Amino acid sequence: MQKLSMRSDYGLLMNKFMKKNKRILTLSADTTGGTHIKHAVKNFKNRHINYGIAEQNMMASAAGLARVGFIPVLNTYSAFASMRALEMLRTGICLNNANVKIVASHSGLDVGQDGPTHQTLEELGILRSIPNLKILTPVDKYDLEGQMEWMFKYKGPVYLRTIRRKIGTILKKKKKFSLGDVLELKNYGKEVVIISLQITSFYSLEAAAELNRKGVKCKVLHASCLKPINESKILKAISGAKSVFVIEDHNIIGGLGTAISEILVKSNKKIKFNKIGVEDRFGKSGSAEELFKKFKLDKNSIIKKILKNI
Amino acid sequence: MELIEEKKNLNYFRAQIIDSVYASGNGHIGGALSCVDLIYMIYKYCIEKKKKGHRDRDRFILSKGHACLAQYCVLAHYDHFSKKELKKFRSSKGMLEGHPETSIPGIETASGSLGIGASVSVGIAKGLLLKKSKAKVYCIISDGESQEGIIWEASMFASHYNLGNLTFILDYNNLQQDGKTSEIMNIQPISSKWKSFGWAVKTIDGHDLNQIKKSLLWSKKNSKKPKLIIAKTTKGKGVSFMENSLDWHGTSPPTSDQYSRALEELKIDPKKMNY
Repeated sequence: MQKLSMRSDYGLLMNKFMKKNKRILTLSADTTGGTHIKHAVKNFKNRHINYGIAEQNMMASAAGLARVGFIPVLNTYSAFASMRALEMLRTGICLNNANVKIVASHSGLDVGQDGPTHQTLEELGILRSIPNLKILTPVDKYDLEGQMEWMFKYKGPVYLRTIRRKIGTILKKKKKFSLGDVLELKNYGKEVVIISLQITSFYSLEAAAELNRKGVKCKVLHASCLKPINESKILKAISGAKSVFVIEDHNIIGGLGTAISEILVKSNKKIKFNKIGVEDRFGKSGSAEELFKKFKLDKNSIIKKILKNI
Repeated sequence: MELIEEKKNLNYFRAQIIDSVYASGNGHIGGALSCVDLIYMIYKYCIEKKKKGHRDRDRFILSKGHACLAQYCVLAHYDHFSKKELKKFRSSKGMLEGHPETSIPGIETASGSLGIGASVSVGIAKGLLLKKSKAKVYCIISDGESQEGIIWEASMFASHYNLGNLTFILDYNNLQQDGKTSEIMNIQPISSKWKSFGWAVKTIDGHDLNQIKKSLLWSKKNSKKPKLIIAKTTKGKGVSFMENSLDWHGTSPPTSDQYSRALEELKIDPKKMNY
């Protein structure tokens, strides 16, 4: 069976939720194709509002729709959600604590050939500092479905980041989501703890398997929820480990690595800590696979960095 | 029509606006004085016609949020909260924020970052139409605010989706923080701009209560087109030394002498501000 991308899974899953809850509306900014919300729009045409290429109006007016009782779900690319319409997200939605969900696709180097204008490497760093906003980062479609169930029960702003590439699944079945969830994806031992984010989980698991063959025992965690993160789960998971590596398709400034370092510093724990991510530079056009090699986020780069810094 | 009670109330609101800024030490007087007539008449003849919180009540959004004192005075008048809160404007001890925020009773959305309130109001209007509600939405924008791109995104949206339940009122006082709107970034020809975006447009004297009342009646007429009322106003209206002056945009509060002179012109006994 052909693999679907997470954004496709998302678009298809929205049919289930829209059938169940008549208050859900979908919004897009000429992006039903790229975000794959088209899979739901075709079945719920009269519950879709296309704003044209006008993300700021879409973002702020979603707060107005929520004000009169709808649950608007915005669908656009990360660059436009987290930057172009950021103030509207912050002041229109989060300051109002409006019940609006933002589902953003096309994040990080995974965007690929569209190039640096669209490769949001700063998205999570920006969003983490906005109060009232929950940030969900599912690893695959099973994680996603559990998160969407939670998201539509939760009353407040949520930002959910989908993965663009067709990369398969890690979990075996739908997982019930709790806010702050940290998933243990694999445990070969706890010499090294890898904390990964979305697409880097796939590379991290490959790296951990190979490191295991070399005698380096790793535990691979996934941060299913960037904000909030369950701090006690993180601290429990790294207890006894010699070193922690955080791997993300994001600038090393501001994202998951920064969030984990905040937890470690607060805990006063003495542990070797490394961030693997994009080293504060813009991206480049290329296939996502090529870019992960070039920017040292692929399996072999991860292995090299862990062996060097263990 | 004389509208004597309304004129009396408006003098009182103007005094309250000045008193509030005098008490807090800062705030935007000029812009509040230019739109308080509009806000009061919208509440009197539209918003307050239904019970507070009624799902089919008309909605009002002050997208020109820095003029919030004008709305706060009217909200206090209609018992959304105690007028004593006006004395604690912009204070950490009070609930009246420097720009509107939904923790304040009667406020539909945070606003003041110009353009955002206008966009929220088109969302409210669209949502009310989807619910087949007969409620109308009124939103005051400013001339300087019309320089923001999001205003035009909202304008296109409202016309495209036939938001006939939506009325924007443009508080056109031709002054913004740095100078005359016509010199900073000219927005003219404003009437034909909005008409070309598919809106029905009317121009009134924004301080003539009869014209305001008539234009609100016009706004209630059923139509597919959203409506714009261009209200020609005077920044600082009501106090001679504040009118058409950049000094009263939002910098220093009045001195005690200026405060006394202002209340004298408004024929309001300062003792009436001791609440």
